[in-house]
Amino acid sequence: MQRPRFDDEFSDLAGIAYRVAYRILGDRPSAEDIAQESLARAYQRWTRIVEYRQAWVARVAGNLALDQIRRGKRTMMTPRPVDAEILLVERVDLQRALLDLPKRQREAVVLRYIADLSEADVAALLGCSPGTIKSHLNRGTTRLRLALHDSPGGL
Amino acid sequence: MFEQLDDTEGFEPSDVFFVETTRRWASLRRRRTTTRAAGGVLCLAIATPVFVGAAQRGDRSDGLGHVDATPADGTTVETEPVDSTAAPGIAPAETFPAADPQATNFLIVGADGNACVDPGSPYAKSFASDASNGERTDTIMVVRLDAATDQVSVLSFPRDLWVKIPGEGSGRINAAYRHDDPQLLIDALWSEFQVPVDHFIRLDFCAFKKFVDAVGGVDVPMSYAVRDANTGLDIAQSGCHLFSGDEALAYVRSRHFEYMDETGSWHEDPSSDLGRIARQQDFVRRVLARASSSGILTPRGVSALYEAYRDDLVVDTGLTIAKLLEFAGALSAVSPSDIRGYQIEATAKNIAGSAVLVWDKSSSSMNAILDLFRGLPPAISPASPASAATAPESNAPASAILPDTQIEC
Repeated sequence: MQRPRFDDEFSDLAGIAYRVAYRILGDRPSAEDIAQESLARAYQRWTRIVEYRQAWVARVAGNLALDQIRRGKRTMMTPRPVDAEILLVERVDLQRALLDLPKRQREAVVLRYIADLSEADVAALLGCSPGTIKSHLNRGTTRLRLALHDSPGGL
Repeated sequence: MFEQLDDTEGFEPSDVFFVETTRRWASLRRRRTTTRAAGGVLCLAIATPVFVGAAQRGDRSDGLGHVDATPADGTTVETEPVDSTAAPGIAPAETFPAADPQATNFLIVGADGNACVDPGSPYAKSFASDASNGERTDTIMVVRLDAATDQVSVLSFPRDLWVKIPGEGSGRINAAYRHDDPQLLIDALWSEFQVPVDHFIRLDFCAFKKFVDAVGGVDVPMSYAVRDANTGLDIAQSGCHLFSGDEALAYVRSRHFEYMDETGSWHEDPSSDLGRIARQQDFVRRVLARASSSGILTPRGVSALYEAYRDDLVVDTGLTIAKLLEFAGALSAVSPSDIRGYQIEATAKNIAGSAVLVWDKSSSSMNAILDLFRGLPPAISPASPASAATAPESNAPASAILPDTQIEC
């Protein structure tokens, strides 16, 4: 089978990267910026990542978004008028909770629940067995739930 | 699980988003390659800046945008100011539209453009007009694209070529070029060579520079260390060299091109302007190869470039984005290494105190090449009817200092 071409996959992958970054940061310019960076990096090593492209791009976007929070560059969001406050609170909680997770759990949670990838895809990208991923996810979501106090619309 | 955190406005990557991503990738690549030995860089095969560059539509401060090109026999031309408010109406298709099977000749003129020059750049000089000879254009070429046979041929005209300029007697070919009106040049090409022009593209050097940068730079296997004090070109060693946009201009525009021989002494390229033309054609091939491997020669990529660079180009009114996509599609089917580059065979003469080049009307290879651009079948020579002269692979002077194809890039 012919290898998928970057150009053909571009829109899909940009959409994935954007969604991940936006869910975490809640800010359009930052999410676009991260999506561009993720896609540029993906293109640079396309042949090596083409098999796991969606998961790979989601992971880079998630890491870049969390890095941004870690560096304190973006703690303020521009909330949308509707439900703005609830979402803002929820997002800030989510950010904090994600950053508090151990690295493996965090990556698994971002890929599975922020990027909406399947457990199998997450396992393939992270090079773990599906069982290991399941246990990372279980522990990760438990900790997230605690951190988020069952916030409205949350887990 | 986190759908409520999604952007309610949705997200669809725009063409600008795509171009910006390409630019970032290019800068990632540059950062990576400059920290590594030059030999580790892959030389990639490619596509053409002229056509992608052609995707621009003029909307220029001088009021000139589209130029009406050209009946093949070049009689009249009208310029038409561009409606800058008109949207280009680009709808990137999944595939390129089918191209007209009729072969098409493009007149491509490389023009000075100082707008994008950083005066602090070591190559700033290569953007400036050469005031000493008052030239207005630096590069004149006719590119023939034959979609039916997937053939691309380039014929370059040295700037000192002595030609008939209709209504003005004779003169150097670049004297026939008017910044805002290509018609006289088109007429001169017709009356001197009977080569018709279907479309006109004026490519600002800025567009060329930006395009080289947008594809991440272009690798050239240099045979020698080379330099040109006039353009700032200075490549200290032979071997694979990754050209940035600025540096590429200093290279393709160099006319006092010096190379260092094995003993360490410097010499000027003996083939002068003809050597420069051969290097330009070689470079264009490499840029094209790089563009096609970078994935930018797609309907989306071409449309995006059209948007991004439209200020740096002037094209004739017949050359719409739809047409350009057709031509880009035809071009993408051509392997850059199959692009044949020709130049006008000429000898130096002194006419009325000026050093000029007079083309060789009796050369059979020259006439075979011109027939190719005229769209005529190979001529049967009346003297020896058995031998139809077909255009050779190339007619670059043997003395030209060119890249070394033996070097792995």
